[in-house]
Amino acid sequence: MSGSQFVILAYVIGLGLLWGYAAVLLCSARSGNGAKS
Amino acid sequence: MRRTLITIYWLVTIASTAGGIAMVAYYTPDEQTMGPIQKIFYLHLPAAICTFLACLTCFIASVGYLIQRKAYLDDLAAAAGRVAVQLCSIVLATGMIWGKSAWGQWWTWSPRLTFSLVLWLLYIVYLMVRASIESSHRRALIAAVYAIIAFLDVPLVYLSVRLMPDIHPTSISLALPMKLTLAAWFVPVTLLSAGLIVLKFNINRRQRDSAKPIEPTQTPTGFHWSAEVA
Repeated sequence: MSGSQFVILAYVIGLGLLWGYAAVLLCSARSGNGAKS
Repeated sequence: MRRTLITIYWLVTIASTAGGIAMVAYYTPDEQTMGPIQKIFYLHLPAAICTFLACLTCFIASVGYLIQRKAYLDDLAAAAGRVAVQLCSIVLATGMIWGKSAWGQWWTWSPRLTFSLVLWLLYIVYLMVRASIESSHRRALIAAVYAIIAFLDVPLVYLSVRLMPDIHPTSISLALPMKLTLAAWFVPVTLLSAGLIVLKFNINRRQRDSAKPIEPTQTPTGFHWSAEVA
């Protein structure tokens, strides 16, 4: 693996974790998960 | 109005992430000795600082809960603890990728790496402790005490590299474009971290409100069990 490929891998994992979790939370907030019944 | 502000917040976060990626790809030069691998640093350092801030939020909310016993402080601590695990995972993953390229190995038991792994495990256990206790009052109390103890590892992570011999670099000299790129990356990572904590906090609070326990209320004919309407 070249240095550039390592960098791309790091950013894909890092941003994937952050934005993936943000997407999950935004979806569950929008779908009313845990909303008042 | 509130919805518009939230939309703007997330649009700014997306735009700053895209800007940060563009700066790493096209603007900032490769470092002379390390080459392109040094560019991991622009995500690694902001994620590490935000991990500390998330742990600090969890710590302050836990201390606040022990003093005031307000449920929202427990919800905030839980949200911050979860985001701390997310951010610490990024710090460890990006650090390991750096290590494989720079040092030739994915992992080494140096003080900073070890204390960082311990921090990650401590906050995973924090989430496990929360998930394993059913009574909300007991859970909040035990989790608050645990979070205060777990926070003791944060200064150890920070100081370990200064107090003990370590393979982890303490400082890297940066040219101006590199400094600007690093500063630019603090924006999306901080916005994302704060946004995630607030989002999770709101979800936790709504879940708590919708799951208020059924409590007995005394009537002239005796106790009457009814769900509390929030």
